[in-house]
This record gives sequence, C-alpha cells and structure tokens, in this order.
Amino acid sequence: MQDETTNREKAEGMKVESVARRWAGIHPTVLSYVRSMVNRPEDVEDIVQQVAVAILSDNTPRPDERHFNGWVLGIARNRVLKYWRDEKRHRVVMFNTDTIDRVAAYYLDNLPRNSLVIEALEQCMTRLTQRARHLLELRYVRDMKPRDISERLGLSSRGISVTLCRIRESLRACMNERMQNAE
Amino acid sequence: MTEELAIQLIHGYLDDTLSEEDQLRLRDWLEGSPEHAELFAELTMVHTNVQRLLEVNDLGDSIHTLLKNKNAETGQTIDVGSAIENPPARQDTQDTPPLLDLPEYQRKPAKSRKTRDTSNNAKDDDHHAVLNMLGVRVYQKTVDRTPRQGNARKYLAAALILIAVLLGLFYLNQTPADNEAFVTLAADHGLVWDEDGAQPAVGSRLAPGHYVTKEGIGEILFDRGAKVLLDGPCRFELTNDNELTLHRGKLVARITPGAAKFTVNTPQARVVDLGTEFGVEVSADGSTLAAVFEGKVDLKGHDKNQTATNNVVLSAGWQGVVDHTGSVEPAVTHIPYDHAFTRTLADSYNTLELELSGDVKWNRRAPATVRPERFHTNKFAVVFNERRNVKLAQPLGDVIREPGKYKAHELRDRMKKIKAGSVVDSYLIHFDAARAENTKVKTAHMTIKFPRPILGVIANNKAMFETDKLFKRTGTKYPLTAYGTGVRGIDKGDNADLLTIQPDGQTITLQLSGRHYDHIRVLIDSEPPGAKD
Repeated sequence: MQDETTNREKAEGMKVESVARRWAGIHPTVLSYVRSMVNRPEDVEDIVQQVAVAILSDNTPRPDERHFNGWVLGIARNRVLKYWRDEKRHRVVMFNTDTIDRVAAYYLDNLPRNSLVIEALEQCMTRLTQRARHLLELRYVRDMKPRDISERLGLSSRGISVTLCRIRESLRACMNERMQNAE
Repeated sequence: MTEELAIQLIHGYLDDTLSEEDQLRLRDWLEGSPEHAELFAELTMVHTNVQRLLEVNDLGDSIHTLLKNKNAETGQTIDVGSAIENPPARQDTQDTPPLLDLPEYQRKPAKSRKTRDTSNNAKDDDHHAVLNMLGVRVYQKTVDRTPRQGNARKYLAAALILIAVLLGLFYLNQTPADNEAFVTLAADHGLVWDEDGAQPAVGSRLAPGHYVTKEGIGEILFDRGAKVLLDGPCRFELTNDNELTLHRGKLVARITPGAAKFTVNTPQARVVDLGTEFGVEVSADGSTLAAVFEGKVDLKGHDKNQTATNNVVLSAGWQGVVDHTGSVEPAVTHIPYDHAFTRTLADSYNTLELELSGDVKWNRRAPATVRPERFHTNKFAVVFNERRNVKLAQPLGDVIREPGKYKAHELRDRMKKIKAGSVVDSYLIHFDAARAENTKVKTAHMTIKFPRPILGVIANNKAMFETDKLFKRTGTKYPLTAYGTGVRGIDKGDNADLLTIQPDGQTITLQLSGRHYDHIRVLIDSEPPGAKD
C-alpha cells in the first residue's frame, strides 16, 4: 500500500504551488551554485532564470517532494554544463563534467547547514575592519572588479586582488571556527 | 601545485582576474582530485554568501552612508548591526562619489567599466541547435536550415545510413554464430526461470535468445568481461557478445575494460557503458531508468520507429529516465538512497539476520548515499551492513561497549578500545529526519539485536568521520568532511539522543530526536562463536 502511494505521488509529481514554495527556499542555494561556476553576473542571472522557468514549466515532469532539491540542482548543473559548452568557442572552459558535478554535490550536501553558515559568516563580517568592508562593498555591491577598484582608489590592481583574497580567507577561517563551535 | 597557490588561483577566478594560462592551471588542478573540487566549492561558498549577505542587507549602502557621516579617517570599526537596524536612505549607486577619503588613496580618474557584448548571433544559433535542457550532449532534432542545406544533409544522411548498413552487415558476420554461446550463468540466488522457456543451471553456457525469470537474482558473465546481475522478474534477450536487450525488469552491469561500450537495449532506450557500473530498470509502463554507480553511461532515447530522440551522459551518482515515448526527461536526478538495485549477490545473501523492532528498517541493499538530505523521513531509521571481516591493524579507540545508557556528553569519559587484530563486521544506522518547514520532527525509538556480540559502538561525530575510510561501504557516498565537523553521532542538548547497550551485549536501543541527521556505527565480532581458538 505504501509503495502504491509513493508511486502515485511520484507519477503525479509536485503541485505548482508546492514547487513555487520550495523554489523560494532553494533559490539562494541555486544562485550561489551558479555564481560559483559562472563568474559573469549577467550570465548568472540568465542561468538562474532558465532554471526557474524549467522547474515551473507545465511541461516539466516533477519529482516527488523529497527529491526536489536534488532535482533542481540537477537542472542548474545541466544549465551550467550547457553554458560552458557554449562558451567553449569564446574562452577557456574552466570546468569539466566531474568538477561541475562535485561542486553541485557539495552545495546539495551542505543545504541543511546553510542557515548555520550564513549566521556564522554574518557574525564574522561584523569583525572586519573598516577598509576591508569597504573593499567588499565595492567588489560585491557595486560589482567592481579589482582593476576597477584599483583605478578608483589609486592602488595597484594586484594589491586589491591580494587584499580581497586575504579578506575572504579570514572570513572562511572565522566561519569554520564558528561552525565548529556551533556543532 | 601547492594548495596555497591553488587557493590564490581560485580567488583570482572569483574576481575574474586569471590569465588564460592560470585558468588552465586551475582547471587541471580541479580535475586532479574530488577534494580539490570540494575545496573550490567551499571557497566559492564564502564568496557567494558574502555577496548574498551584502545584497540581502543592502549593507553596502549602509556602510556608504555611515562612512560619509562618521568621517572615515578615524578608522573606527563600523557597527554593522546598527547600520542594519537603522538603514539610511538609498543613494544612486550609478553616480556615487569616492566613498573614502583615506589619505593613502591616490585616486585616478575612473574609467567606465567594460561590459561584455552578449549579443552573439553564433551563440544564439547554438542555443537553437541545443535546446534540450538536459545539458550534456543533447541534440535538437529540428534546426532551421536553408533548402539547399537541407537537401545536402538528406543526401549525406542517406549515404551515412548506407554505410551504416554495410558496416552492420560486416559486423554481424564477425559476431558469433547464432548457436554459439558467449555468456555463462555464473551464480544465482533464488533464481526461478519461467517454466515455458529455457532453464539453464549455474555453470551453463547461455546461447543467444530470449530468457525469462520469475524471481531471484542471476549473475551472468559475458566472455568479453561484462558481469550482469539480473533481478527477477525480468525478461531479457542475449543478442551479441557485448550487448543484451532488457524488455522488462532490472539489472546491474559491471564492466571490465575488455567490455567497453557494453550496451543494454530497452524498448525505448540504449544505455551504453562509458565507465564501470550502472543499473537499468524497465518498468511496466515502458519507461527506462538508468542509474550510474561508477563511471559514466550514455543514455539514449528513441521512439517506436527507432529514431533517436535525445540523450544524456550520466555521471556516477546520477540517474535519468527515458519515458514511454522515448524522450529523456528534462532533468537527471541524484540516485535516491533507497534505490532498488542489487549490486552484488552478497547483498541478497545476508545470512546474518538482524532482529529489529520500532522505527527502523533493515536495508539489505547497498545504499547509493548516506549524505544528508538524500533520504530523510520521519518514519524510520535504516540500518545496513557496511563491511565484513575487517581486521583491525591497530587498536580502535573512541568506542563504547559496556552495557548501559549513554548520552552524547557522557561518551568521552566512557570510551574503550577494540584491540588490534580483532575482526569485525560493521553496520551503520542512519536516521535523517525531515526538516522541511511546518514538519514536526519525530523522535525515533528502535531496538536492534545483532547476530554476534558487539565489540564497539561509534557514536560521536569525530570518530564517525575517522572510521569511514576503514568501514565505508564501497559504492556508497558518505558525508563530506566540510568545515572539519558535522552532526553525525548522537546529539547533545535538551532533547538529547539516548543510546543503550543491553546486558546481552548484542542489542542496542536508540532514542533519536531527529534534530540532526544521525549516524551510529556498530562493530560486531565477525567470527561465529567457537571459531576462535
């Protein structure tokens, strides 16, 4: 009886309302995953939008609810693969299928801990120096690359890159420490 | 390449500052090891979450205004919290003056940012040509072409078909004669053949033709090296020395190098081996599911006229479905934890019976993964056999074994060791309760009696990770050691988990709160009583 119920649910898939609700929950993770694999903001937006259209499309067979997260990240993974295949003619292809799969698996595995990660990172960011936060703002809110920042601040591009690297590494160390304490 | 250099390259990638040469170096490094990809993922997760936090909180504008108001030259640390609580009015970020007047900054005239031209006709054409969202080598059937191109392609297609037919005829002449057997029935477990068909015994050679099983599992070996486990009931046809057709039922194929490109045909699909191990299931509705455990396979759909529709290359840990129309579903998914494939004949033997009661099930088959959120339910925990006959080369610490009740905070003071030279069987108890919104998490209660004395129970997070390498089941994905810690073992806190080793030394009772996913590893004596000197 239980198998029959499961099969029926699987055949019917999830309702659109349920998909929309779950999509709202996993959207930040999909965005993060795509951003990690695609370092051009305009392309990231396109890909995430394509994923949303795909999962909300009436023509798309949907899995049962417990496989939803893996399904959505699977679609995102496919989009990223397609992106790099299309980019092949323009530039170096940064990731092969294995790497794209492994990073997708990493994001999926860490889904349950996302809130802890965000909380830890948020706390760590409050400990940054004024200048570090300023650089992060230029980099992420204004979406400026190190060269643009260096021109704006009159510093070397290399120096900005190194500083951004150190800031993120210090955030990573701080976050890991807090995660260990929390767990 | 050192890890330090790799980290620098990853940050360079995140800032889009890598030269082409450095991109290639990073790419090669990433492909070198799964751990490299995981480190990359960890670093990018920091990058993307910083971005997310700044976007969500609009922290940038807050800092901007605070800096202007507070005279940034003082160098005081900004109270970001207050900035969030009292968000200042937004400002136009398109024409913002320099944010800091720090003396050391010698500003140069700002140049406009370069933007990438995304209007690329060739790329658009490519989008048309590759519409299917499956992503990996998925080809669209209809592409706009001029009539002249269309005719040329027709002639070319006809020529290719002719060549294919000629090659096919040539190939058929090279394959064994119809009555020449190329498969051996190597073993069976409860295999029952259909009364109306052939009923070969173990060790028999199987000639080309149709076979039907009613139940049980049969292991057949192709002379070229493919090993196939057929899980009844199933109907299959042996066609040549590196290929079979599965009409109904399921199988798992493990391929040796000599049998590369081993192919399983089904009514609506072709599953071609590109690696080492995969499962195929043909359902009653005609759909075909292919799941990859190791390596890769190419899953190709075709319609009733045998015209190819589309395909997907599946990597290990993923599965794809071709529906009854021959169309590959638009997305592949992870293989679920409770997949129904039998991967080794030993899976079905399990002569050592467990006695279970409460919210627990015995999973006799190898799970694809025990990573979090892959198989989570409030209904029950799962126990399965990991490895057998593991001889400990050195003493194994951090285990508990004395009868009594244990909570997480008591484990450290009551740890024992299993002596070197002991031979153990390992079992893993996995409970991943649902944590979706509006879901009440259930506390699971269970009792498990093992067939032989318990030598040790591993119930803390650190020891779980440390012993994975020794006891993990081949083919099953275990949790990553991201951030160095996790939430395996039994949980601490107000609703702490409770583990009890019963006085008989063979039974444990568990009360698992389900707040986090739980793993408990039980090591029992692998030698039956009386086997020792």
